[in-house]
Amino acid sequence: MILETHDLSIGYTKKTIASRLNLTLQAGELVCLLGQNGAGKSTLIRTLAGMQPPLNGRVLLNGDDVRRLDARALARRLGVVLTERADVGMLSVHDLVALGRYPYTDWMSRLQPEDKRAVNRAIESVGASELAYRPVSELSDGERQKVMIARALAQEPALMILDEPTAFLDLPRRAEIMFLLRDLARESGRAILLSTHDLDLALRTADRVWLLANGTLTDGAPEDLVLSGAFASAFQSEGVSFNISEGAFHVQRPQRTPICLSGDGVTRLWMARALERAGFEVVDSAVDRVEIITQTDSARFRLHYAGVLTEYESIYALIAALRDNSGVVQTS
Amino acid sequence: MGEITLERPYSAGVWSRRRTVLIALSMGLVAAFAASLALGSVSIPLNNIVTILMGGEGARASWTTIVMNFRLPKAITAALAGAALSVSGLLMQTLFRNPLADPYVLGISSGASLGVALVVLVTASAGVSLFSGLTLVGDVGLITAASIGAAAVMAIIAIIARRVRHTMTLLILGLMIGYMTGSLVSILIHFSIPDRIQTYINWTFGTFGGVTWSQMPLFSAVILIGLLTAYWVAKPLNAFLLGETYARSMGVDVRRARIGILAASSILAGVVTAFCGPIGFLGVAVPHLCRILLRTSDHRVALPAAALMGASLALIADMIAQVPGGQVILPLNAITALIGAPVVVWVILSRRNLRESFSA
Amino acid sequence: MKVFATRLLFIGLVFGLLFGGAVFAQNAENVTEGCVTTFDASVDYFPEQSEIEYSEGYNIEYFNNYKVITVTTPWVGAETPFTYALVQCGTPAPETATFDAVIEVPITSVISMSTTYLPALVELDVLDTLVALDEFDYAYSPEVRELIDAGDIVEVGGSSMVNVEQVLDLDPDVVLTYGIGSSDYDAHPVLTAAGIPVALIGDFNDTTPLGRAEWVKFIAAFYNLEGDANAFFDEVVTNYNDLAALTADVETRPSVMVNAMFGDTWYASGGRSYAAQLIEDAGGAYVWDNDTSTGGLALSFESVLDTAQNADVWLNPNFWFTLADGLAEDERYAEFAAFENGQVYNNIARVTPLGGNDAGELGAARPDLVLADLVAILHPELLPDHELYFYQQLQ
Repeated sequence: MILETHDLSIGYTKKTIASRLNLTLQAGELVCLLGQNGAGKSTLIRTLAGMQPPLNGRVLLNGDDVRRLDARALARRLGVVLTERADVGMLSVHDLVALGRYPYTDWMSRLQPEDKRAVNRAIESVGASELAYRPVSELSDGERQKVMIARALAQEPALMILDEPTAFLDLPRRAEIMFLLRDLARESGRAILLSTHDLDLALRTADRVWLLANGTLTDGAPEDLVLSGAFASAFQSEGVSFNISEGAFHVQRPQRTPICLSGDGVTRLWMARALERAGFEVVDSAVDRVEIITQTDSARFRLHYAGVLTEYESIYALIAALRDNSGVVQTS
Repeated sequence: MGEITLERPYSAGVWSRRRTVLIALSMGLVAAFAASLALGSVSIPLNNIVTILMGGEGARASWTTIVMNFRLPKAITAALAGAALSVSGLLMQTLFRNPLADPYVLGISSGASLGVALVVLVTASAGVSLFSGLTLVGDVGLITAASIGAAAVMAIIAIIARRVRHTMTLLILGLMIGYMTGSLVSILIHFSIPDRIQTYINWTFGTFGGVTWSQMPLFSAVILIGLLTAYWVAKPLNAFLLGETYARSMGVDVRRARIGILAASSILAGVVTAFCGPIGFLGVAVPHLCRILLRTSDHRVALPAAALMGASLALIADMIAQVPGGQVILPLNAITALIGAPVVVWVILSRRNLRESFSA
Repeated sequence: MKVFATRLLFIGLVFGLLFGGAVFAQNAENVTEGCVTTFDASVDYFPEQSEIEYSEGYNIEYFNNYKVITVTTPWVGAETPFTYALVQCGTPAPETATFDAVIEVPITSVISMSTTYLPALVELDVLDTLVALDEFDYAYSPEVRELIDAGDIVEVGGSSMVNVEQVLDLDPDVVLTYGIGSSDYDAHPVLTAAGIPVALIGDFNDTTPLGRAEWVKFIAAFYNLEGDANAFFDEVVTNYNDLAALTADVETRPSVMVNAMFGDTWYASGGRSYAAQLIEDAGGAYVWDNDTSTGGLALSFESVLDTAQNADVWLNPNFWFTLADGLAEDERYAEFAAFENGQVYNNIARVTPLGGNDAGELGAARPDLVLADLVAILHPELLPDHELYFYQQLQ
């Protein structure tokens, strides 16, 4: 057990965000902290990292209260990565990662052999070996976050805490980082806690999820939380619902014209999505009907609408026709 | 996971660049120092200068005096002051994550000018004997007045620095001190007489020629202490490049480091202002020039480089101000502005450089 | 009939005598008090006139009932001269030309904007006409200080900050002032714009000691006191020339350096300047006499050291009262031989706590006294009994 909290209350003097938290983080696990904006994710992160005092209770890192540890000792156990784009002056990747050895080096920051090894390991484990010569300012956002993670790794901490590390990244980069973190946790035996808005990736990569909503924190495997409905209720809001079968959110539309869809396979799945986007609801029986005709290479789409039968070669053409004809305006 | 070969070619290339730059800067400093001894409004042949430096006598007695009692202390003062201001400016730029910060951003030179203004301007306007006040406005008097003013501001900063959570608060404090002292000085000027106003304005021009041998031990000792303190905080300074939050997470004792940085910077800025007047632009421009040359913000090498380059530029500025061979002496601050202002403008305009240096 | 004729004759004799007497009286002296009651265009109202021989800054032209003073160089680089018509009170002003000011003389009230004009007022005994000064602090002359202490005169401020309303209230016959050619700094533009009569005095531009002193005649012209001024000035000239003659053939001339650092610059007097002339007339060798300018030289400490390290005598170093004052300013002044030998003299012997210095006040009108001091300093054997008046040897 790397991190545990005893009866922890977090918040500010005027406002308690959550209380009576008894949490643990084990070695080798990746835990994702999820919750709506304003639920208190950042506050929890900061309190666990010792950056902010708890209102009540204690946070123990490897058995010691994080508020009692001096900065150096704490830095050897805990590495932090924040959301902000750290603009670091003119430093090379290597120098930036080497900063992570701060709690170990002397006043002249001289790197001993084991320091150098730690830095190399860190760079390699995030896959940034080829970037080591380059100035940090020349890197893309994704590469930069990898380097910041490497820096935290160079501290050789038992626990890593990341506050929305993928916030400014595009999807492929976000996926890359999340999978990297999952691998790191497993292979290095570190505990990794991160907060994120990326529900989909979190559900796929986290060993455990902490769901923070309405002052309570629900803790469990992501699948457990989904099936128990905890997810759905945590992200409940007007017009938005969480679809368990798809594992995604749906925006509820007020008026949906019923339409019938026949066909199967992958094409049916995507046709159904297109119809939903256009403001239709796929039902078992309806007056109007879409048919998917599969041929050897491609598919053709037949539309029975308002008594007229027409055929199209692309989903786009069919949907466009539907819109024109039915006067259904897609509200975004 | 074995050793990666990234280390050797990388560090070999990097460190040899740093070494080359430092060596080049050192040689530049030696050249500038030698030139400043050789040039002046009186033309003294080089062989005479060498003879005098070795302890001999020049062809004319006045030449020996000129070289030993004027040019040599002036050159040493310029070199030390230039180094001090550049290092101080670098510290302020890193601590406040502001590429336009200079050594006076905390109001040190404003405090010093208020001290000088009180002594120079008030002793006349209060109707006190015009003449009796004049011993106070000699060299020693001005140095003392400026030191007290600078020290007062340092004390205020020190008291407040222990209480504030955010370093940025100090920046605002420094600005306010600057405005307040500026307005107080204008009031003093309004009630003073032209003669004294001219004396005060002369002080604001800045000069390296005011430190005599008897004052040199104090001056150089304080600067060396300041420079050593600055080097001692190079490690936390590097961490501060990432901002205070990250620095703390990497093990920096932020409060102590901040005090060390502030102490070094204020001492350096204060002693130079006290002995030489408020000399601007070197503190802002030199750190940027060093960053470009070295291609790194690593303070272990940026600090020595800033000291060397600052010393050289100060010597060059002083030589230009003397208009070699001519009789006129230009105000030193005007020359440093002419050198430094283009650098500052270029920093602002090349936004890519700004983003590279700090969070924009 | 006989009685009537006798009475007529008697009256005619009286009138004739009066008339003749009046004419006779007029022909001998200027009118120094009051105005003329009946104007006669054929009478020369200014029998006593001043000729300007030494000053190059102005001259006076006399007509029957008015004088025209032309100030050719009120300041360095002035392009147009200033002309003033001084019209005998009770007679008509000339209409032939335009003047910068038309003033009725003799004047009864005056404002002085410089202390260098005060000695003239004292000497001509017209101090009762002084109504205001620019600044009280710098006046030295004891007579003037008495007036100040008694509250008889007013302070109106100097240069362009002069209190115009106050001056209008005082309604002087003329304001004597100077200009440097800068409308931001000069007083005369704002005064003239308010309709106040102003006369510019360019005494500081004269580079010869006697030329500068001759401006006493300028001031005297406003009072019709040319007679007194001529007598006074002639004596000054005689004294001065006698002293200069004493030193004209000396065998050795001590070398002389002047002034000290102001900020980063040592401002020394030019080789043909006022100070240089005094030094030469006193039998000294000015170390910068190969310079030909009449103004000042801006030098560095280095170059002064190179030129003057071995000068025999040092004059007028800033405001030092003692040698310690010099060391406090910069300990390297001790490098000069004159300093080491205690041959440093400053003209601060007659000063007031508020900044008044007689050397600049009376000294301007009495260059003979200044020269006497300098001769005594440079050649004590020529004036063994002289006691220094403006100067003091620094200890």
